[in-house]
Amino acid sequence: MAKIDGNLAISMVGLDELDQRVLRVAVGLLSDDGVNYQLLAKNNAASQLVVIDVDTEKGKKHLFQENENQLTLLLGSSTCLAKNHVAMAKPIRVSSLKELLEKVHQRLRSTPAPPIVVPREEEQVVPLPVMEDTLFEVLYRAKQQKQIVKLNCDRDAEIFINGVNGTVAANEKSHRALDKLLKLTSCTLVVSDLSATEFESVIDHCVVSALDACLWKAGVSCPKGIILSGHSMDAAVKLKAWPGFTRHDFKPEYFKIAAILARHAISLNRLVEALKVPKVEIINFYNAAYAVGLIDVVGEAKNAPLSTAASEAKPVSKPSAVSSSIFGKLARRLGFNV
Amino acid sequence: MGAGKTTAIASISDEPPVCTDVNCSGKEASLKQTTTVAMDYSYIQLEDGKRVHLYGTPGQERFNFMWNILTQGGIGLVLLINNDHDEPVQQMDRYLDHFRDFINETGVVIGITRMGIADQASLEEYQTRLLQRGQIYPVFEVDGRCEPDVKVLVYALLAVLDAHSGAL
Repeated sequence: MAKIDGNLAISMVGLDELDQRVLRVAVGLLSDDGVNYQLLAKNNAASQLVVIDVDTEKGKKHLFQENENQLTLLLGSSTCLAKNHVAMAKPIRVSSLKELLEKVHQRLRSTPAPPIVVPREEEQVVPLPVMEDTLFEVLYRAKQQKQIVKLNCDRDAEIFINGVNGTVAANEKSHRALDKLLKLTSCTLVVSDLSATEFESVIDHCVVSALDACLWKAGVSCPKGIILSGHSMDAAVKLKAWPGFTRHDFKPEYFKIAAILARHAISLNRLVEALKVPKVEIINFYNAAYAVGLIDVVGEAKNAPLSTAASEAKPVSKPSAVSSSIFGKLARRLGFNV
Repeated sequence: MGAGKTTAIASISDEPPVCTDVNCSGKEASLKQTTTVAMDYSYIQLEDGKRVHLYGTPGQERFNFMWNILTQGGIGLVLLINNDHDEPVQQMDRYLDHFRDFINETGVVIGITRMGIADQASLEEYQTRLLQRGQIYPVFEVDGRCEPDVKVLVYALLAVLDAHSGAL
């Protein structure tokens, strides 16, 4: 396969209008990041990379027109890997397509590419030994005390945390490690202070994330299951807003906790009894939600009756027990473990 | 319109939805080829043979007479907002206002579609708007073509309904 010095030309075959737009947006975003692709007009096949929807007749037909100098990205409901082929299951999303095109670009710029395996959304997380402090605690302290710090972790990851402007920065390699680190149950952390000027000088080539997003991920993955210092399991608490769950951190338990805390002011002890969700999950959810500013502490409320939000104080007709059991059956039917 | 209701129902139902789609005309034709004019319908059959019926109502104001008809006897609302439309946050406002009583009696979950290809509003803008309205509703980015996304949406609704039903 040919090496490429500049733009990499992409052609497409059989893509519907929506997928074409997804491709255009992904290419546009890559261009903003300095990864240059050139999207060719329809029917122009003189490209280094051709994107084919193999679910269409046009796509299937094109598939048999082998071109050794052309890398093929196959989109389809069921995909398989073959020589010179990269495959991606439909529906395609901008973020995953962008990530894949970035990898393709890197490979094509350097060396003849071996078959590329699309990364699975959830990679296996390998626990690291020895814990001095949790990442959540370091991030939370930085936010609370408005610290600017450098964090060195295992695997040479170097992360810069700015509690003043609420950002976390890491170079590309460390940024890739950050997502894993946030989910690790433990790792060795070395924290050192930075000045605002030092922070500004190092973030030029860094990927910058919101501190709250990192806090949330680290909080719900924290192994300790210990409530934040100064907080009580007996205080009545309530959610101010529904957490910004993404499709990647779906956890049925958190939906149950969020649904209750969105509706009622209740103590965590009472929540543990009522939901039959492991205490550690409830505490982690609380810690993470509090850290990102989603919790209202209403007050000490041991054994207090449930209080309902004023906005929902209007009497409501509650679904019957029959409805309740339907919810369970429907959840099981959809494959959720309830 | 164009939020992916028909596709979302199809992705989790037992049978392909019965649709009342017609070809778009006028301005709408530039946005999508067909649109729902009455309702989409399908169902999920439970282990005891009972069925949970899924109805999709057309999004355009001129079909709002269908909205009230289809919510009668409903147990919850999934609101899909097309982020590729002009003023999608205001569109969410309008639907939440219209369905206020039904939502108070049951529950709602909000799915924002086409976020990857349209940047009319960010997820934070929807969340901020809900905060301003004093409403704590689940809001997610979803792809209606993607079954796991739709299932997550439905699961969130079930959690909301369960909390409402007095599980405590």
